[in-house]
Amino acid sequence: MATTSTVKLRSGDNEVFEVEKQVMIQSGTIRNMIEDDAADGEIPLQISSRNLAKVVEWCKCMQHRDRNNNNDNKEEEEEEEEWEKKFDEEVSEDKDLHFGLLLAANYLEIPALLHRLCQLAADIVKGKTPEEIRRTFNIKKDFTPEEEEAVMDEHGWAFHD
Amino acid sequence: MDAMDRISELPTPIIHHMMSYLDAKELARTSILSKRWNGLSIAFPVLDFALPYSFHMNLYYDWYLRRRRRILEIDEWETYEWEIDEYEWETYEWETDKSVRIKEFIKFVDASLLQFHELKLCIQKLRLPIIRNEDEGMFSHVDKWIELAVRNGVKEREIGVMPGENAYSLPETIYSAKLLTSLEHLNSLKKLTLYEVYINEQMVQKLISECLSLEDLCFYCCSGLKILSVSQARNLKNMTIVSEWPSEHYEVQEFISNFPLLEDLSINWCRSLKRFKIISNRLKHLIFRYCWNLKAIEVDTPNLLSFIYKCNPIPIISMNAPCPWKVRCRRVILDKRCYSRLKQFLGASNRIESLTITLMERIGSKLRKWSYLCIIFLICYPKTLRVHIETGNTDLEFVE
Repeated sequence: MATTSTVKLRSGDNEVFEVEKQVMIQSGTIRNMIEDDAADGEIPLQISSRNLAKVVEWCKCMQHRDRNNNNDNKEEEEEEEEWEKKFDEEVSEDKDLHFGLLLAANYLEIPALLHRLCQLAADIVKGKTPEEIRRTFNIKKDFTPEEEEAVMDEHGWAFHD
Repeated sequence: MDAMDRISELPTPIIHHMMSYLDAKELARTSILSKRWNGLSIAFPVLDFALPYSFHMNLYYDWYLRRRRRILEIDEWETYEWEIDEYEWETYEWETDKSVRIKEFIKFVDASLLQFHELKLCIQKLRLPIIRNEDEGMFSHVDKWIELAVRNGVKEREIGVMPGENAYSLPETIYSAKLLTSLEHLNSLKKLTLYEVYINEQMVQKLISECLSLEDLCFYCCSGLKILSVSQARNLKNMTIVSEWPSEHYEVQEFISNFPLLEDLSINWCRSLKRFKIISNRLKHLIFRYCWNLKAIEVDTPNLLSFIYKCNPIPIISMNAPCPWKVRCRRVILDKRCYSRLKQFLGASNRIESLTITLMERIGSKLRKWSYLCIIFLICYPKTLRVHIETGNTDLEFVE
């Protein structure tokens, strides 16, 4: 095993984050590197510093929560809930951040973060008409009227309220 | 301005992951967004036909008419055609109408599953809805669907069969037998829910011996089982029995088990269950709820972690379950017989976490009741005790 207790992550725009290994083993990708003794130098990642900072922050919060799971500290618990709520809001409002984090969580293999972000994306889709969804995500309708009619026919049941 | 379509550029597995949080209707609606999304929803590996089924069976023509109405609104001949439509609707023979609906549904499922097969996509979960026996040879279709799904590597499956008026007729038995033959390929199946299926003892035996990796088994309103007694389930961990079928003759009346690995067992609304026996070192959670005819239980589970006994009669018991109990007894008439049974039942526990008793009020026996209750309290030292007297509405709570 490696000798130091921290790992250095270099973002796509060359910012270096030094994080405790204990925090980053939540990432399957980085855990594998640590186990293979390949994490001694800087680990270059194709993730922007803004997104990487968020991922690191999230990992720290989760690790903190897991460590404190056994003692019932009400204040800290509330603080963590507050942080998570803020995280959810921030992500739901900022699509660049949301999808950047989705890609990062996928690449770094952090299942809990991926679940959370997918759930948030689904919450945004829920209860919206197709036109509203398109507007929210800037999805371009590329069907011809005939193609659209065909898809509508196939899934007719779903468009009936 | 953020005009980039970022979401559509995400890798397919991420979008499928996101889609797994949507219900079937929301999911189908995403197919209309764009070509990319249509492709994504075609390839989504969880096939749930419950909503489309209820739609096709109940609402199809209603929806069709509304759609026609929408189209007709821009038509000059609107009034004229609309009248014809209405006329056709009213004189529609129900039977013809129904068979049309079923055909539409069959076509829909066929198309969806075939698409999967042709694209060689993997199905994670297949959910087929309540299907009536008399519908257009539906069972041969179900067989075909299951086969297709199995060939596409289905891992989880839920099938409902709704018996018609001739609930226990031959076709159903043949169907179930067929179902079980097709199950032979399913030795990788982990979770199986049988919903209103006719199934007898031999079928259960066969099913459990064929599905070697089965971990989770749920019987929901199944009929045909009188005695459930199985010993070969090597990997079965969770089992749930829920029954609301009014007939007593075809339900589980006896449950005898030594499932070696069973950890969770939950029996609900099983009104015909009279005797129950289980011996297990592995069982962790045992729940009985609303089994109104339960007479005797024999439980030897030294490693049980929780035992919930809610709204069943007070049974004759032999219990070895050293764990916290939660007990709720309803409509208790505290006479001598009942009292001694209650005493025996509660006395078998060394830890009662909560005890709720609803008493039937009987005139002139108030004092005696109190003394009985005091004695109960002395036998079992419950952590919380709630006594509710039916007519008096007296709630008493003791917290130790």
